[in-house]
Amino acid sequence: MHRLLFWIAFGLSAAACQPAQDEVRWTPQQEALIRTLSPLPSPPVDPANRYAQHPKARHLGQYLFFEPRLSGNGKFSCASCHNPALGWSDGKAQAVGLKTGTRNSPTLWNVAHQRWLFWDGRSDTLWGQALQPLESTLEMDGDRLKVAHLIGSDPALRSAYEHIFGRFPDLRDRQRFPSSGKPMPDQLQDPRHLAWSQMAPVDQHVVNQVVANVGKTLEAYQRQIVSRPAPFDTFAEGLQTQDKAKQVALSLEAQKGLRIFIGRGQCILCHTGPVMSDFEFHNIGLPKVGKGPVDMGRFDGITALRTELFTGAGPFSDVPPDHARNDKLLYLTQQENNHGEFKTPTLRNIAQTAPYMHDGRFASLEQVLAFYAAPANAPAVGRREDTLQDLKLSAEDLLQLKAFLESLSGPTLPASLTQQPPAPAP
Amino acid sequence: MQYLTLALCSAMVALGTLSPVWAQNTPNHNRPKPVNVDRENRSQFSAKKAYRVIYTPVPDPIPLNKHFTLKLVVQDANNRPIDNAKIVVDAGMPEHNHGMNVKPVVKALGKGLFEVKGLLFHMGGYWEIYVDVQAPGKPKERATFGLTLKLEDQKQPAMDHSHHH
Ligand code: HEC
Ligand code: HEC
Repeated sequence: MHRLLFWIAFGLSAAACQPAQDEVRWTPQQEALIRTLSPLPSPPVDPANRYAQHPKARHLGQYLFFEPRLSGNGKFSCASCHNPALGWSDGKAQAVGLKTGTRNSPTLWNVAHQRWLFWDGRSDTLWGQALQPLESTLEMDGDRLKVAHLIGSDPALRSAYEHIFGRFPDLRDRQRFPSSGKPMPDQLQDPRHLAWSQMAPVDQHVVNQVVANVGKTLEAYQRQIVSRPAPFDTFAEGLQTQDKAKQVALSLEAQKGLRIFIGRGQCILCHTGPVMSDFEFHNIGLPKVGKGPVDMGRFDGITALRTELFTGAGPFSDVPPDHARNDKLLYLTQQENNHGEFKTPTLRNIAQTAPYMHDGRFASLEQVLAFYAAPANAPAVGRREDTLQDLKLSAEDLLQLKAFLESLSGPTLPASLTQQPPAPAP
Repeated sequence: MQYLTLALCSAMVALGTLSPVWAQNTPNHNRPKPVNVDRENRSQFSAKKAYRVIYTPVPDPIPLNKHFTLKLVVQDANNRPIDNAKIVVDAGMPEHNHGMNVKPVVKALGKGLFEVKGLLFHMGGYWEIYVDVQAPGKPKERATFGLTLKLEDQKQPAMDHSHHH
């Protein structure tokens, strides 16, 4: 009897003496922090797009997302750079459309959660954003007049459009509505710029309304690009419900990585909430690479936003300028701090979307983490934020963080959402 | 003896689980320094005590990464409301050396009350709110408030941005 007690006590104490070996113990504060990261809620509504949830708008948007006829040479679609099989990105350091750009194609996972679009946040609406890659001479090099004529002249597209937005405007008069044209402030002599600038403002408005509607269908589609629960989410749920079977979804190594992420690694300060982004901009001190001009990031993004037509406060928005959703524009300010700031990217499905950073400078997560272990303090421009510190992360810490980042990948979306549907209407 | 071992081990385990809280699990910017603690009072004198400023956030507590409003009561040293003062409000994270990405707008409501709209704290941690007060013909002075926005206190995941108010 005595011996039995001895062995029980011995066994207990031996087990209790080495919890750190095979289990991470979480404090209530850590558990509360983990609850802020999971589960992922549905994206916030977008009152500036009244068609954001419209089933036919979703369908047409999906058709257009995969449609190369939107591009200047008929070869590029949105999916060329936002490929569902490549984490809604393209696997390239810098996007390659008609020419090679200077920025990395961001993932579209959970894009409807974003407050600002692009690395520099130069757009505030997911529907207004779409016109920029469509017309950019580096990307699709399409133009708004051509897109409007395409929809007006293809019976299937026209009918799908009219089922959502009502009568398609009469654009048959090619004097008033040339077959091709767009504003090109950097190429004032381009025939397409001249064609556009010679149009009457009321006619320009008619065409802008059509492309804003196209953008609204693209948003309706992209709002469905929502990530599914990842091993990390199963773990977080298990932690909350004290279900050990769910907790094993996260390896011990990844759990230790999570502890660094929310603790001394300070990642959670910027990679906040279930999307793991604060939706704002930071200068993390990335040094200059290459010979090109310095990328001013958010600073120039704010300048561009000030002249942007397709915003939540503009004429094609479905809410008035003083609607609360436009507070982000109303109170926005441009400061010197904004030099060299870029948007905090989401970390969901991050293992799928190499290369990394706004210019794709890092080919792997190891390289990203090596940067954070000893962040350079020689920013390409501006000032590195003091949030970033020399964290003295060991090689083991980095492996654990990597294991955690890899646990943020969930299943892919069903094929019904990742291909062009056979026709523009259901 | 065995019980002693058990007790010792349990104590060690208890310590072991406690120590990381301080040693490694709290982002090290997130706790106010001792000097900041005085600043956490929502009623403060300005630097040279010419004014007193009292604030109430709406909503209260201040949410992470959402626009919020401040109601200010501005008084002179004798607790009399100041109406026609010029008020400028800003905020920042002194330990990270950055401010807000927004510029708040101040509106006088009369009787020494002011409403400040458009603030947004996008990061958890220690924030300071700066209220510059200048009554007509008087010096400009700053009242400084400190507060710690705890990530782990956020009830819902820190998500949305558009449909509040
Ligand atoms: C040639 C490659 C390319 C094509 C084609 C392309 N994009 Fe992009 N996309 C990019 C790049 C690069 C960026 C980032 C640009 C920047 O930040 O300046 C981007 C940014 C975005 C963003 C912002 C994401 C965020 O989190 O900020 C969205 C949304 C988007 N694209 C949707 C689209 C849609 C819709 C289309 C089709 C109309 C499209 N893209 C076509 C390369 C491309
Ligand atoms: C000060 C805010 C901040 C902190 C703290 C921070 N990050 Fe980031 N992170 C960013 C920003 C901003 C970028 C994009 C920078 C750029 O492209 O210029 C980024 C980029 C990344 C990327 C690349 C994502 C992509 O799609 O290209 C990864 C991975 C990442 N961070 C992980 C981490 C980890 C792990 C930590 C903690 C060790 C951390 N971050 C801490 C702000 C932060």
